[in-house]
Amino acid sequence: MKLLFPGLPTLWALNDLLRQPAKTTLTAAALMLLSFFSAAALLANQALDDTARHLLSRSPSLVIRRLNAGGWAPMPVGPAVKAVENITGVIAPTTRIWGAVAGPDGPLTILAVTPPMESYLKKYGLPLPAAGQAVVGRGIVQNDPNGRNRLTLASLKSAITLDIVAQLPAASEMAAYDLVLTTPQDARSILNIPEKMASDLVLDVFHPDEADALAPELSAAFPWPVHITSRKEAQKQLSGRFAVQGTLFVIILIPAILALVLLILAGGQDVLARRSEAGLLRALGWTSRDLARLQLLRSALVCIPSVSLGLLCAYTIIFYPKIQWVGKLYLGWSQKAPAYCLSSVGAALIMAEIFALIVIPYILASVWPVMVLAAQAPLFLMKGNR
Amino acid sequence: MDRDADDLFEFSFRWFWILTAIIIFAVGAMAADLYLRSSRQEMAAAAHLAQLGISWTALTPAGTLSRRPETRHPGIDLRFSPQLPFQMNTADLLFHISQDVSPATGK
Repeated sequence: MKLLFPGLPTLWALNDLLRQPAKTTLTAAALMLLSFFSAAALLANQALDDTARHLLSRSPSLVIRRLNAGGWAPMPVGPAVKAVENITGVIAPTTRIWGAVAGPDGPLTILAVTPPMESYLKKYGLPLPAAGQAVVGRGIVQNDPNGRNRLTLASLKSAITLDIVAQLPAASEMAAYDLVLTTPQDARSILNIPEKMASDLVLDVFHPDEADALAPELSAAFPWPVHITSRKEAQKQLSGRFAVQGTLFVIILIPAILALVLLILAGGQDVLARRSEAGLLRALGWTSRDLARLQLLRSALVCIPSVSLGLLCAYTIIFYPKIQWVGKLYLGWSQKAPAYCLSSVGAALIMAEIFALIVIPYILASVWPVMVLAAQAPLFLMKGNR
Repeated sequence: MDRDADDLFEFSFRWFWILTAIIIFAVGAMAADLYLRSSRQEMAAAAHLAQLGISWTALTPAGTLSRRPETRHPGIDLRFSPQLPFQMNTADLLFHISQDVSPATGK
């Protein structure tokens, strides 16, 4: 209970701070902004990286695409499945028909419905798209003047207009925000993929750790050249992008550290400028220890609440559910970005690091001017001599 | 604390409680959120991704390389140096450089 009722030194320190309200407020605001920007930059990077890794951990283990001299080529469905289905450790090889197409507001992904997806659509009470129809992600809403929801997609060689019959659930935004689910025939026509051909083949492996080891065997099983991408590679690729951004964020921290040093120096100069006051206190019987305690309390009373508030603001803007600014600011969305619900795993450690990085040097550095003053006589200090 | 001191520092006493409330509110709100709400807010989206059988996330816009690394054509060289291998991690790079400048090989 004693902690909840401040002692005289704490009240004295607060009184001392309140004698200079403008300077105290500005220092607190500077510390708050410093902690806010530092924490927001590091938290955003960590949260995006962890979220992407976790999302991709539920993706197929391996993606196999056919390759020819001209680039990517469609693969025949039957021979592709037959080539891998008898390899030990391979589970559920499935061909997909998909590709990136131009939508009205930017690029979209079109994906043909496969039999496993039919049960998914039924589970969420969504209709199976018929020819000329599409079930779309939450980021695609088109309203034509006649009141029908229609979506026109274009590729290099063709264009197609689909009726939007349903939207995927809101919870799917981070996975399928700009996804267009349609029939295999419609997907083939817009992507210019012939009948009985597919864009790629995905499969899971019995032991996820063996995915990389299976790649050479899988590659040899196909009668044409293929390129195999594992889940780990996809995670690594996305993490690499966030790592580059993280490096840029660290550059933001360099001026932040300089700002902290300047704040510490300004606080020290303030104490040294008030040397006559320190001399008076010492003449009244205050020891050097009392003066040091006063400075520690002064620093802590400004620093701890403002850094806590800055960390709370950073935490809120990153982890508040369904934020969109991350997509616009960090990830290059020119159209409306999806609602991000980011992972807060590891957030407590980052905030503790930022707290310690700012609070400990700021409070400890407030003692050094007292050490300078302690070596001088009270009368000498009261006269304001240096 | 005696009565006189309390009168003298009444304003400071009020501010002490305001600052204490700020700290308790900030730390308490973050701790409560971390404790009560799942850290894995993306669980629902991950379940949809698995059921749709897709191998990308919608964190980045469609049509970008970071969205679908499997579409990067291996015949198109994105390396900053042709002496480096296609698939490489940082440790490989260090090993490669150390071999290149090794005095034993003289290269």
